[in-house]
Amino acid sequence: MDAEFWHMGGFAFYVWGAYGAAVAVFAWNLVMPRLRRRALRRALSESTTPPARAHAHGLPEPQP
Amino acid sequence: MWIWFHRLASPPSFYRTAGRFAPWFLVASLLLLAIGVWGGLVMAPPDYQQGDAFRIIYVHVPAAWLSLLVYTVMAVAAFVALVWHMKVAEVAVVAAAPVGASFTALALVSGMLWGKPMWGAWWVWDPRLTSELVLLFLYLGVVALNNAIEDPRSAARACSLLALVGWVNVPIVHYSVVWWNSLHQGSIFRLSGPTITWDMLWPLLVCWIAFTLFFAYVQCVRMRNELLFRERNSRWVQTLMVEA
Repeated sequence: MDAEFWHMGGFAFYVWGAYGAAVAVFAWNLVMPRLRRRALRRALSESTTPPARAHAHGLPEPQP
Repeated sequence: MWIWFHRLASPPSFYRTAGRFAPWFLVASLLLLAIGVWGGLVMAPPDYQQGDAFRIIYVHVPAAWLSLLVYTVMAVAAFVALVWHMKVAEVAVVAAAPVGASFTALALVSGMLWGKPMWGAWWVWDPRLTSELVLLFLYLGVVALNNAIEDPRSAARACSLLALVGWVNVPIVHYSVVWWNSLHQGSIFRLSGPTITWDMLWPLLVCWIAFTLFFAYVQCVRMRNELLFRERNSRWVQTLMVEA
């Protein structure tokens, strides 16, 4: 890509700022559910162990 | 038709169906996004008035569209959740709120970055901008309400009520440029046909579809997480976890 492209006719800050914000929003939407899923899986696979451990992951103790 | 509806209303079959569709939504979305962004940044000619600054449209318009679409999806789900106490619908409400908030924030930020060089101000208390800001607060309100109430089902009930009442803001955002004298430009889609050339238009349509598919993906994944959490003591989740 040439310098003219990155320059965006003098609007580089605004154009790349908007696209950067978009990248951030997409990344956040991709990463957050993935982290939650990992935490859930870990907590749920441990739910056979004493309830204290599930509690450590922010899950309420399973009801009998 | 009704069998299909009943099946989607049951958490384990929704979980399975959403899991099957989600990867395709993501692949299609990212592919179209790459094409749309390339079309918008490289192929489209600079605007005769705005120069290259107009390229912000390919982020701004699809994000603003999603802010309204996600809210409408959330309000429909809220209605179903309130009337039929359907678990999947309750999950759809709480899953949609953070996604909607993020795209509303993107619409506002990209709009500010567009407003500064074109209007000379980052922010004006214009009907369109103000109602979009109210939309962001509505989304954040649903998120906060969900976090504040301990019991997930009562939380979903309260969130649904707020989501449903707040929907009145959606037509206000949409028609604000028509009803009031707004600094914000009107829609480029008119009855007489779009007001921009095809070279500028096609990347916008592609980005539009890509953003919508991305929401479909995130909604599937978030709803699956929420279902796992809420149904953690049910047999289907326990069997699922043993299998995994």
